[in-house]
Amino acid sequence: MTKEYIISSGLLELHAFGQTTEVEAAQVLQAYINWPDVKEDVQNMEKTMEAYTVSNGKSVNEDLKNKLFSALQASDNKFYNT
Amino acid sequence: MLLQQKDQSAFAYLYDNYSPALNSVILKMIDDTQLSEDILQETFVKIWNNFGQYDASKGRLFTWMINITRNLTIDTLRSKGFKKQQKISQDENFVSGNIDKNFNVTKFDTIVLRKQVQFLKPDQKIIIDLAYFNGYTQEEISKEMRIPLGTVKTRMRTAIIELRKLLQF
Repeated sequence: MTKEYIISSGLLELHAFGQTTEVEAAQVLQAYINWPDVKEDVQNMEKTMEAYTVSNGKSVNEDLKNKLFSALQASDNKFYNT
Repeated sequence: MLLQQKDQSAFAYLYDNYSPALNSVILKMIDDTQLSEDILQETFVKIWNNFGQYDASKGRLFTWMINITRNLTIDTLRSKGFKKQQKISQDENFVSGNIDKNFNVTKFDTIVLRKQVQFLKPDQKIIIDLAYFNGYTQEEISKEMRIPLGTVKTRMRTAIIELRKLLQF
């Protein structure tokens, strides 16, 4: 695997999107070790996509939080550990 | 991280800051408010139950969460006999994106981001949205847009670089 291959493979973008398979992710993580700037590149892509998604956020029905927390309290006694 | 110790207040914090973003991902694929709320709830239950599996060395917390969200939404659509669909919505509600540094994530100014994102070219936006929000593979995008796989990969990279420039990272 060369640096040029990994950059043009599309795998880095897939990884930043959280869509790599285990085998593909292992290739990307190996590339991180070989070329730290590749890791920085993917981290920047992840951050970009996070900002993009947050910028498109849709307000959530306020009742949903209470519903969710009640469900978690009922199913997991550790949920009370604050 | 606090969540790995199953801390309820940390989880509440996570919910408050990320639920609008994750909700938007679900609503991109599903045009059904009740169903999307059910999926959002299920997503956070899964985040709570599986937090021990999150590995920060592999990627950002948000990437892990969005992957859970997308997969649950796609699984739900499949179980109900839907095909993958893209729903383009114009009426996106404003949300504030206060994200605390305790979670090692960035505090975004959503008003500025929204203005900037508008400048992304339509063909770049489509390719990003199909992959990121709808979970299309690069092969599926190639078929859908009738462009070669290599072009999909190149355009996706260019689109993210352009988006990053617009968002000024």
